Amino acid sequence: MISVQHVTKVYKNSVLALDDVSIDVEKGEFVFVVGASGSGKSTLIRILLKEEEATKGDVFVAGKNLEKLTSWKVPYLRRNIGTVFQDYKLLQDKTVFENVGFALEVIGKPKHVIDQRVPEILDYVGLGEKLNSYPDELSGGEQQRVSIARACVNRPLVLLADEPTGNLDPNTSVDIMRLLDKVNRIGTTVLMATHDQAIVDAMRKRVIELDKGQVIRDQARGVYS
Amino acid sequence: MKRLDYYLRETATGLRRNGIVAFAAMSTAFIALFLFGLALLIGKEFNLVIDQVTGSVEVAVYLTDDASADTVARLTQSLEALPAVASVTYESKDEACARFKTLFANQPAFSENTDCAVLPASLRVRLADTSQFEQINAAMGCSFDATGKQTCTQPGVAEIHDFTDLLNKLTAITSILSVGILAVAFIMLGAAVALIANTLRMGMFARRKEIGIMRLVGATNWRIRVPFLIEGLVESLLGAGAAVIALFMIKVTVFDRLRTELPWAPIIRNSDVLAIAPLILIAGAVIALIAGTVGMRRFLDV
Repeated sequence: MISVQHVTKVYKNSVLALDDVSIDVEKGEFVFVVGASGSGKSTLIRILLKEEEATKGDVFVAGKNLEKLTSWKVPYLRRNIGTVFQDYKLLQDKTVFENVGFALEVIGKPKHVIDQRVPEILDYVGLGEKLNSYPDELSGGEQQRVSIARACVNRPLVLLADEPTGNLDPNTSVDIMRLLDKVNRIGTTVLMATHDQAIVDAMRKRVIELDKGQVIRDQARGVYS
Repeated sequence: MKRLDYYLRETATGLRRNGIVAFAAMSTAFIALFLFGLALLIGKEFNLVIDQVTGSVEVAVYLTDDASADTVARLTQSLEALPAVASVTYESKDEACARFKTLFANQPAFSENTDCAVLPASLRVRLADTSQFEQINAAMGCSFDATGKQTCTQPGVAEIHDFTDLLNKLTAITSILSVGILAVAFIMLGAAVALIANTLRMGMFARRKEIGIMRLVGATNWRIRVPFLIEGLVESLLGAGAAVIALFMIKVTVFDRLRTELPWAPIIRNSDVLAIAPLILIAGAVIALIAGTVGMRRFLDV
């Protein structure tokens, strides 16, 4: 589902963010990418989304060679990838329903699809009662659930999560991890960048550790360090 | 239909959000397109006046009153034989009188006290090559003496009047006015493009979070751009519409007043204003398209 082959990324200011990184993630896997700040986790995610291009090496996501993907096809790649961020990225002037529906609306899905799928996915993430709330009326954990619902409403093949529990307390983080695990169990490949040690240790999933842009560990059922 | 509805809603939100800047953009587009239209109308008006004053001929050969039909026919023939001459028409004394009366209809003291008998019949000559006026002088046997007095030896010819100078002057005035106004119009068009591009850019900046999310969930570039393009189009077309209305008002308040001041002069009609309206609307659309291209370049690189 995700294949990164000998990828090197050098930014314009000649910072080396990734150094000959190779990672293969099968369909339906759950993978943690861990490492200190600046180890290259976010750069990896940006490359998988084709927000950045690898300086060297090949990247395949959902069967597409990203290097050969023309810019007008990038949106169609992203429709197969759900994304979740530390800061939720919700629109404050839209309700929970509208925030999730927005993701379908802007890719041209008709209203009856939106009306059917949005309540369904909100139910799934446990917010079936909060359709008409605004983001600032929700707790951090609930806001992150909305953003996970938005990421999953178009049934992506891959879910990329960049520090999804970074702003949450430990108990709420566990709830969010349960939800991500649930999303993974229905077949979505999940790649999550984090430095939340407790969570990685509790989940016992595959762990890939980055340090200064290099993979220093790739361990099945691993722990944080 | 669904999509159209989405675009219209987005456009309305955009216009509301940057009200004042959108208004500035609209006003600039209005002024630019108004001047553009005004230049076209003035050009049209001068052409009408030139047509009327000279009857659209370059040379008039005035005939003596005793010239017989034979003489007229012979003169016409010899003029038509000249390579510089395009066509020759005969204007009788009665026709000359009628033209004189319309020319000075607003000066009754002048027109009523003039005896039509003093107005000569003439042969009106359209030149193929205006620089070859000398050919006519030679054929009619006319020449100027040292004091500038004209004498013509051909029987039946009283004198020759050359309108080439006047025509050149009128044309020069027209082009200076039109070019001047057009130059200002083009500067204003540039300003309109810059201002509309700026409103689009501000709109995109204000909504950068929304645009960021749209890109993340896989909205196409066009899906993101079209609402802004429509916003620019609406702004410049509103300006264009206002310009057309203003041109009609100028036509009614200024040009129609000329009708009383200068009754002899032909005045542009409403249909002339209507005829340039599509041009103004097209120019407005072009402004919006250029502004869209300029304003959104770089902003949306994937």
